[in-house]
Amino acid sequence: MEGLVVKLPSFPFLSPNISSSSSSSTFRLGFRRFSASISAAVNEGFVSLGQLTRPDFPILHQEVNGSKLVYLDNAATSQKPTAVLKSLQNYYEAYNSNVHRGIHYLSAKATDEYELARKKVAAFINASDSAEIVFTRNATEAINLVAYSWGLSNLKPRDEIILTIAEHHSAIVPWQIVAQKTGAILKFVSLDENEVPDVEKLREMISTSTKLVVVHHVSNVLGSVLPIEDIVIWAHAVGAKVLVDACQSVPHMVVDVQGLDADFLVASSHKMCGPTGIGFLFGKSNLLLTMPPFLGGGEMISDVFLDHSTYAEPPSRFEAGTPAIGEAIGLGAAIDYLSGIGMQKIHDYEMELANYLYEKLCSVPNIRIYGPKPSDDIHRAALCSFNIENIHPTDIATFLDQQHGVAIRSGHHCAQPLHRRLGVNASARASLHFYNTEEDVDNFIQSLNDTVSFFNSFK
Amino acid sequence: MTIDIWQLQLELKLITTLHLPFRFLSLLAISFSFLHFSFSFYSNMTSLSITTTATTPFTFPFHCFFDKHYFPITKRIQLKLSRGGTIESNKFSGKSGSNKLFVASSCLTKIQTPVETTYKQGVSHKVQCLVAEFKSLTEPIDRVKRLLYYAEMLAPFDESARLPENRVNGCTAQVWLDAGIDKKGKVWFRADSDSEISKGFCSCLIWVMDGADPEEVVGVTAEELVELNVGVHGKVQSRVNTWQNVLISMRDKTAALVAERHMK
Repeated sequence: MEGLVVKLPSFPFLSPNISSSSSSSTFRLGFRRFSASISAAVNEGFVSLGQLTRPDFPILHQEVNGSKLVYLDNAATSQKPTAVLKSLQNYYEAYNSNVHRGIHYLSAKATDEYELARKKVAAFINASDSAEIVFTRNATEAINLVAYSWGLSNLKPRDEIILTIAEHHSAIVPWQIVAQKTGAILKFVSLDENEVPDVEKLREMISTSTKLVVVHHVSNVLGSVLPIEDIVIWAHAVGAKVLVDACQSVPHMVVDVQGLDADFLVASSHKMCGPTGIGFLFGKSNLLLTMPPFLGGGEMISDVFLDHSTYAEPPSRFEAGTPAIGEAIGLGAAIDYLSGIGMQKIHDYEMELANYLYEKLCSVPNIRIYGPKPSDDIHRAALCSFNIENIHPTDIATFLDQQHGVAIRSGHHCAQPLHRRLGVNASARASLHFYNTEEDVDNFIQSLNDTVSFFNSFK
Repeated sequence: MTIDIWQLQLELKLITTLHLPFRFLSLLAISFSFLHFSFSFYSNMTSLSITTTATTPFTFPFHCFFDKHYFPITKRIQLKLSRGGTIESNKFSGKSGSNKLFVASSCLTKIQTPVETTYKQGVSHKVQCLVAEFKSLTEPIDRVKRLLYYAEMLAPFDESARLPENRVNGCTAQVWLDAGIDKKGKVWFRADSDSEISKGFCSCLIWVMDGADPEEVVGVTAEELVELNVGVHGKVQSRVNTWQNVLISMRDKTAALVAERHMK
């Protein structure tokens, strides 16, 4: 697969990853021109963003169980474009070497590319300095980093941490552990009548005892978006910090940490077209500087003696051991790819898809979709968790996979407290990304209707 | 709807001839019996009435099951037969699609098992039967359908056993498993799930293991049953592999019951 082919006579053939050298300037230039042709094609309405980008994702072109694969599990993990796959291969073929300490040519090159990836992440979320980006294994590790490093040294008995009941387990459990160790108290915001975390209640809960607010930007179950800027203003007014779980927002929309003024922000690479095994924590410089190390070992030290050691400056202070170098570079390539399309463009397209998916799902009889109803004020992410009366979501997902090759998820989606509040044990979830099309949604709905009639015929 | 009755050869002291009003499948020479079975139908329900010409009252425990596999659809029924007379049993519902009703009794000293049913076969034989059956279904969707068919056969679950300690961990659906050892030292199992496919798995596993010796239960390995991988591709040790979790739970509970028994 030679990258994207624009099958229109008026547009030149442009392949974003034709350059054999991994020189970054060629890369960026290629993508700028690439972006122009994509915008033009999409603006002229010839073809949707999904149709245009699908050829870049080799994994989507296969059959499962005798049917064409329809991949609708993007909230669990996204697929990777050829550009990312090639960058990984290129790293290992051309300049794999350990970073930061080496003198020789390969090591210098690997270090450059690794640090360039850090700069790309910083630019992508508009952080003011790349030193504010700490590479971790994933968002879960990033949250644990904040919990063990910042939490253990800043929380005292009776300090309050505010979360919502819709948080992912990774945003809840580390704080339960740290709260137990420090005597801090966790407070949870419930849902309002729109099935969205009650922002007014959250505002009321914030008090002088609040030290931290942990909130998701976009919910992986409800599809709702929280007003982070407002929450940060309220939290800062009482001197509390805000940790934003941006796993479902960074891959799908423009995220500006300076605009949000978030203190901490976490995301995973594998949800944003990058490889697994890498994620990042954004933390404001003044915060990171005060935080003690999380994991100890090589790379994060300054000097090591037998009886004590001194530590490096952030971000190195929080990156112990040899990092996931290839993966970080792969994440950088993913960011280049996404930027080449434009996050605003991706967001606009996904909004259309989100509305289309919601509308079509509503037409399925006896269905209950969780989260808010989309309107002019309320925007949903391109995902829907749902249940159908009398049919277990696992049965639905199994049948969809076996009979139609449609991949959705069923279970509690790492949000058991939320499911308990919704009164169910599990739900099914279909989640889209910019390489999905309306045809995928049509396929899904048709298959879902077939599934429902199949199970109903057995009753 | 016709009923084929497989008649058990009964070895009992008091015997007379058998009267059978319906067309029946007789695989054995009927020399000993004194029970007259008759069935009447009320839409989906079947009731069994038994007439005896025995001269001594006795209690006759038996199971009724549909299909060639032994799926207990009710608890063991005890019918107290007084001398000579007819009594009506409980009514049991036959599920759609099955029209073979079998009657088996465990109070008998010797039971002839006809080739067609798998009642009283050992666990390893049943495992082979199950594996062969699923292997013969090459289309994955047919396996799903077969599981749903077996889900219908699952015996009802006693609500009093729906306890947290009976939850099987690690399944995406909720599965409850209850187990015990009866007076003869055989293990019994009952299970339920909110997912029909999981119920199907439970049904298959219970068919294999219910009423077996504890040693046989503990000896069944996941590798033997890998053909049951419906909806879970390959030999994956995924945490959503319901039947594996249920199997492990069955083995663990059996081991615990045996240990408890030895302590007494």
